[in-house]
Amino acid sequence: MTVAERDEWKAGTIIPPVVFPLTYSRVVGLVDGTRDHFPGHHDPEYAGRQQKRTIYLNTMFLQGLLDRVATYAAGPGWWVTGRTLQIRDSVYAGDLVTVAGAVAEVRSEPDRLTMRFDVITNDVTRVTGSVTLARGSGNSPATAEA
Amino acid sequence: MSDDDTSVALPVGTYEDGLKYVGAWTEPVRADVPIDRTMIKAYAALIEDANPCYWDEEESLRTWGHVIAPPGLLFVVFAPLRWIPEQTVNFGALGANIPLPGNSLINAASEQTFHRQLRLGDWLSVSESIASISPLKQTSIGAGHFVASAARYFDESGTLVAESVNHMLRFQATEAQP
Repeated sequence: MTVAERDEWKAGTIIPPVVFPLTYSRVVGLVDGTRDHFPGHHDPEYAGRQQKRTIYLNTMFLQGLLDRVATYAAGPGWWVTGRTLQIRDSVYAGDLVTVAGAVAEVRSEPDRLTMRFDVITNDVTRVTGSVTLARGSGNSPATAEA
Repeated sequence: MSDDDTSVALPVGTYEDGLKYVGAWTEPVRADVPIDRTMIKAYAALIEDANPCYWDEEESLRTWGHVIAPPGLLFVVFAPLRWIPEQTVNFGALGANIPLPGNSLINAASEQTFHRQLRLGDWLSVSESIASISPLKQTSIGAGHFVASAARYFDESGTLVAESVNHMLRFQATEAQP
């Protein structure tokens, strides 16, 4: 059952956590999946010169990860209208990653749902963020033109 | 051993040099490539996002009336190609392309607002502006300047599709050993 299908989904509703081991192969896959050639994501020596213990996830992966967890929890017919991401510390290859979240705000007319998330490794929150979803056509009026 | 071919060559200057870039908006610059099927599936595969609309175009058409793309592709489409003939390839983001002290960068935060879903075939353009540059700050990875960049993304008709604000630390990483 998705969050959106529950009879009483409301602020505080827990999003089912997602836990996965972050392999080196997957982090190196950032080059393929996000076209990001920045060496901190595939070159451990360069990451070390950045005072990082090894290669680490990029912003685009973290954005997609929160979007994935939020849209799966909300269910069909919801789309992402906004997202925030704060990276307190890096998420490294070799880490066991937990994405924990909860519904932060529910609005109607139009339907809006905001979820807040923590990305946790070694019992410490490394990344926080929120995803706001809307239910409907996948369009909201544009506010400006080039 | 680190590969020099992937080293980072950022424009170097003083804090005051960087401040000269604050406020002005760039003309819209089109992404090197449009959103295509390979991009959608490669990104969904990396994230392990099973959303059927990213894997089955008929499902996406039934659900949304068009083939949608993951919103996370908003930054991905502007990642520069690794090499372009007879061009110097810069970092895609304006915050990395202004002169500041330091030889490295790392992203700290981002906010994105979408006015519609991204779609297969979108060939987006971006206009960017440096919103602010902090004075020198000490962080756990070294001293640097936080650069806040705003961006507006347009489709080929000139319609605003999305907006973002990105926060990046420009700082000094240790030099490679010879």
